[in-house]
Amino acid sequence: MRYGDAVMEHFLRPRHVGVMNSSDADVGTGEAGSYQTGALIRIQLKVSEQGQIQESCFKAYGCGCTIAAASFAAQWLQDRSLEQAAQFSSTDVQQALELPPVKVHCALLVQEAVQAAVASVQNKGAF
Amino acid sequence: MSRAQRIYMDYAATTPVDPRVADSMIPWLTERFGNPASSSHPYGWDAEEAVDQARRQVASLVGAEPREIVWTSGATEAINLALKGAAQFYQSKGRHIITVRTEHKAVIDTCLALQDEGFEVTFLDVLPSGLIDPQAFEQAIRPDTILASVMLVNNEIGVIQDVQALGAICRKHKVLFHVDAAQATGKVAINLQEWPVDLMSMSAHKTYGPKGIGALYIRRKPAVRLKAQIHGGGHERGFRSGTLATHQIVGMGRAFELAAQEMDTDNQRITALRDRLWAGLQQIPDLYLNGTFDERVPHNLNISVDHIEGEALMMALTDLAVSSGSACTSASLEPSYVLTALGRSDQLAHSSLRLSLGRFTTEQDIDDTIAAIGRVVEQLRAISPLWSESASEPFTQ
Repeated sequence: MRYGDAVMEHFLRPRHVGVMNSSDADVGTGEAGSYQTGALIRIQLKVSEQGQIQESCFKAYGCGCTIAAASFAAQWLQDRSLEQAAQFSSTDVQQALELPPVKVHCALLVQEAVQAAVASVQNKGAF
Repeated sequence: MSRAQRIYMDYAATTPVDPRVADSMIPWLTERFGNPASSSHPYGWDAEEAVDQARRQVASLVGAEPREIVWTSGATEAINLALKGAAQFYQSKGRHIITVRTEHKAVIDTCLALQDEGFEVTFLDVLPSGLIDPQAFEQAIRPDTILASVMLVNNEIGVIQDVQALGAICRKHKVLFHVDAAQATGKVAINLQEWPVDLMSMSAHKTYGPKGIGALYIRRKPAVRLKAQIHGGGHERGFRSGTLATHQIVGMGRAFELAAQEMDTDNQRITALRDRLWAGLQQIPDLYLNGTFDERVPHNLNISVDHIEGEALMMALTDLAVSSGSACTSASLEPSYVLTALGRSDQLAHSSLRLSLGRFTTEQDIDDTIAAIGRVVEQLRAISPLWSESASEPFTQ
């Protein structure tokens, strides 16, 4: 399948690939998908006491659009508040990356991972 | 990199037309444009002679008689004519057909269409090697079995089925035997005079000929009967009506003639290249070969690279034209049915890559391919949450 420039850009030069220590109190970790189904995204956030995201990173296994979507999300999350992050939507990803309809599930997957990361840090009780 | 600099590693999808083949076709489009069915003037006679020569060339590659070759628009049409034609003609004898789960969609979908017409189809499993167990094949034969269809060379994994043994089983039980040889011509020596095969489908464009032309071998002794699927004019002894595409046919004939002349040297060269490629790829950890290495055409390596998804691998290999069995490359979002039939997990089927070599593959192509795959695998594994996590970061899967 041929994809647009935005997908190729994020896929070939992914932003904010990395890992944080998930047991840190200020780190939220969210995962969506699985190895078995062919796509797995992990999003991690480091949040300040004021509820600002200071750092975000991702790791992803999956097709090119899955990786591009995760890279896009990790970049989008930089310097946002946790409240804004909770509003992160698959539509943003779809529009920014111009994903074809058959790849909408990649956008949904990354939304799920971001929401899980937000919930994870909120559940740690510091915010 | 420009398009021209890309490395083509997808010969199993299609081959370029050999320049010698293209040259042979051109006069038949312009000066020598007659209709081979025009029996009243030299334009027609000229074209008819060209078609006859091509028929001899195609027959000669596979050890058939020229009269046993019927032109079609490609292997898909040949398969449709063989399976539907035989099933419909012989249905009073029985309505059971045997084929294999790893066949090309042209066979699978034709069998499903016959199922809709009331035929019963058994889709046999294969061994983890990709090969058919002859015993299981024989056990699947019932008193009402009229037809079996097996491919000689698999399009995804390149394994070679023992169609001589399977054909002998069919003979013993008086079952018609069709072989899909689309991926085999010019790669495997075929001798239909000796092989117990009744029908065989062929394509030009997998063997350095043009797209849009193929042929069906229909055995004459003992004669196989078929119900025609395309009517109108009674061309090709009534098996397949329609004006013959002289230029395409000439191209297929020339391509098959070259295949006959060059198969041995091509295979030798491609085997050496394949060995070089496989030696290079084996340096990558957690990389697996799909299908047996031994009973396989040298033109095909189908690999799975664990913890990387196949479409991502393909997309990252921007200078390489290859195929993947990943679900993400298909409209169905299902991983390759061929790889899952081998017993491969969905994960490994998702992470597959088909590399197919051909007449114009060079040693430089192979070295560049090994380097590119090595580099990209490392990059994608660095992104993958499934690969070499730091010890401080245990994740459960």
